[in-house]
Amino acid sequence: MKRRHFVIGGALAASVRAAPTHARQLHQDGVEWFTDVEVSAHDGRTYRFYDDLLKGRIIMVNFFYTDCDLLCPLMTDNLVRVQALLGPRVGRDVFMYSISLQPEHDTPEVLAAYAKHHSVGPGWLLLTGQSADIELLRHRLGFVDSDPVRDANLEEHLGTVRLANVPMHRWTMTPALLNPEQIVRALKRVIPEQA
Amino acid sequence: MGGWQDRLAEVARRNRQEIIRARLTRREMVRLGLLTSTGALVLKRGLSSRAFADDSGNTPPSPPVTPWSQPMPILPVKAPITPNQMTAGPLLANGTRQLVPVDGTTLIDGATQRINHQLFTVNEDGTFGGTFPPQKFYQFDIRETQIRLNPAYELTTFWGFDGQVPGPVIQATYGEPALVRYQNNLPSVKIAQDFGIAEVTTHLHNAHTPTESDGNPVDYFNSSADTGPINPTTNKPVNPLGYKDQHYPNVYAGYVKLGNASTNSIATPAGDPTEALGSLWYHDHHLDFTAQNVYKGMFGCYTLFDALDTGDETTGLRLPSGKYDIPIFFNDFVIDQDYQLVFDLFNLDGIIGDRFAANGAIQPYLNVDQRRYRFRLYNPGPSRWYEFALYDGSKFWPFWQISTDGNLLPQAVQVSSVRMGVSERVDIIVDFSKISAPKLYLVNRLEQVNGRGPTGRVLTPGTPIVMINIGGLPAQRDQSVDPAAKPLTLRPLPDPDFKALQSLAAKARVRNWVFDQGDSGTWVVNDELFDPNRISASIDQESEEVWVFQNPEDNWSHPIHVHFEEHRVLSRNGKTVTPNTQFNGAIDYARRDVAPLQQQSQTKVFFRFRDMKGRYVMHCHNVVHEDHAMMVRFDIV
Repeated sequence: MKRRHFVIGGALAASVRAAPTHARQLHQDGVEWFTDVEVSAHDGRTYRFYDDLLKGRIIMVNFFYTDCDLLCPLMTDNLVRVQALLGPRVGRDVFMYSISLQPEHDTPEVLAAYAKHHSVGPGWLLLTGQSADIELLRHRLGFVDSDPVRDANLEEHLGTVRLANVPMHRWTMTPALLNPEQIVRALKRVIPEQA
Repeated sequence: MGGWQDRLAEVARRNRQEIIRARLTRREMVRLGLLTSTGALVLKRGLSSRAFADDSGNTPPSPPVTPWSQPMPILPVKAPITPNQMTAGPLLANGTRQLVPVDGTTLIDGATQRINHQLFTVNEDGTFGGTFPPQKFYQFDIRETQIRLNPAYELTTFWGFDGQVPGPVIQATYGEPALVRYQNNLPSVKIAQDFGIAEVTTHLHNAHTPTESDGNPVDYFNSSADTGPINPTTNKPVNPLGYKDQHYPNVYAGYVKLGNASTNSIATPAGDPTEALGSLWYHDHHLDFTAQNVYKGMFGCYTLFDALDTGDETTGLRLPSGKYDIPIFFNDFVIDQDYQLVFDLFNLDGIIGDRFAANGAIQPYLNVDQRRYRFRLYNPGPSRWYEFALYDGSKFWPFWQISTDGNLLPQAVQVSSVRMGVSERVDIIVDFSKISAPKLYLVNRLEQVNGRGPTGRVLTPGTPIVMINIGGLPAQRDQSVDPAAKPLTLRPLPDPDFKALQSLAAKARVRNWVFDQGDSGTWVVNDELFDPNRISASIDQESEEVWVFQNPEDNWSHPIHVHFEEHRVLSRNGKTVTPNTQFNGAIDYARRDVAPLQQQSQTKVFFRFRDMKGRYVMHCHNVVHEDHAMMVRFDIV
């Protein structure tokens, strides 16, 4: 059984914008909740999590790791089918993110090889970053098992995809292994008035 | 009472807990903007309602209330209208909506198509025909509304039926079919909300309803503020006026086998009267969004009367009636410092709150006369279980349970508490003329520290939710039946001979349903995720089946609800129930529509699937679990 371990401290970038301090109307929203931690993608670029990846977007996000030989390959392949169904919308008005649960192992280069192997198309970023940052994102996005023993077991990570219309603050979730047509339908339900 | 500084301290403490759990260093916290360089936590509201009620012993964060400072609201009774008063669409300049007659069709599949109602038709002259032509007509205006939950609070925004939370009571009568128009007048789906989606599909919980009127999760429809889906053939909107008509025949189950549909009337209702339902409720059932929408206020009350349960305490069973028959809906909320509802969108376990409301008021009082009352207790969820009892400050008082899931028992049972999973209803009779205390508290004794289900610990005295002030004698003599005077016989069971029922069960087809957490942390039934297009059971109409519900987990509870038909419990955890077996106080072989599966439990039940065909669902009524795929579709064919 693999256990998560954490790289705490180290050389951390100090360039995160302070959260706004004025009272906000929405909970669990914006940079305050989702944070602007810096994440690295398999495309070799770095992004601020909220400002660059979430803000104003319709997104799908899940967690995985490249060494996972149980659930993740199935999930990734299923999401590849979802991406195919969505076609050119991915990268245009729908954005897909898969965040590594083993960020210290899953470097951008490792993620790039994984993306190529699984035919991950454009508009879908595999993300990694500082362990503590990723751990915070995992908590904020609700990929946490409330049973601490189970939560600590990497092999029992959640096999779900969060679907969100971020500006509408409309969040739902669906199992990553649901048939791809149903995942697309669930995604469309968070988008108002699809033509 | 804590001031705002105390509240900030609470929030900060909770934030710190979460940050500790996330294993962040101080330096990382500074970097993430969570901690200032001087070490003060940056104030962040509503971080996680999972933390609000976890077992870390944190003080609840909802703003303080002034308990017992407002009367418990009594739900208004919904007035019927005439068919020619039916309206729909956006508000016109004169403050009304356009007249839209009932046309015999209704929307299905996300308002992408219209089909005909199965059991009634509209004649050319505007009168009604078919198997159960509607005789009573109601119209709901589902809209955004503001409610003061407590005198210490500012207004809280909800979505409610007729702008009320809970929605008003439809008092229906067996033999008198009803047509209910649901107008969705919520804000446009294009407007951002904290949570919830402005599309609705209303399920009348435990009713024997044709599939197109059942409120199937996929049958949600758009608001009148939105155009809604376009019909690809005509290129016109399918539902531009944002409403749906639902047909409630108000017939007992079993009319096909008995062949008595044609004589349906109040005097001779169709079906088998031993199948009567009493305390029902309506609520939103939107696919993936049920928990959010129900928490936001979309639920209300529906009661059914007949020749036994008449709504008049001088006739029939003479149960306490009129103003002495009081439905009470219990909710638990988390409220933020702007007095708005907090819903944790990132919680998989279930949502529980720290403020308890009865009929939309947090910790109200109820003044009663020294006489008998019937209370209909409702648990609309989303995730909390209750065990209700009456406490006078030093001891608990017994009362009479007369229903399980709102269906009258064969005989009243004296109990000291009733336990209710999400969506269960229990009717009780309390005789305040025999309680020698000036006041009682209706308390919840069941401990629950997270959304998974109750811990099983029964607290003394528990959390008081309603203060009941016992006044003087009523102006008019109590004419209701006294359950203490003799064993109170209520409604006979459809299969009164339990041995005969067991032999029927022995010959019936058995289906096993395992409710579990999937390998991947999702919720599954028989290892399958909900797919509205997959039929998990095809059931012959008029067939009898045995279903075995199983919860193998040791730290989760699942209240399982099957649409359309009641069931009879045959055994629990392999142990056959007997006419005297009690489960959570009540006689266990009664009729139910919820199987409250607590940890590592199994319940075997008997079903008849009668009268109608079509698609229905079964799901966990911890609606957070339901929304996360713990649901199956079954079709009656």
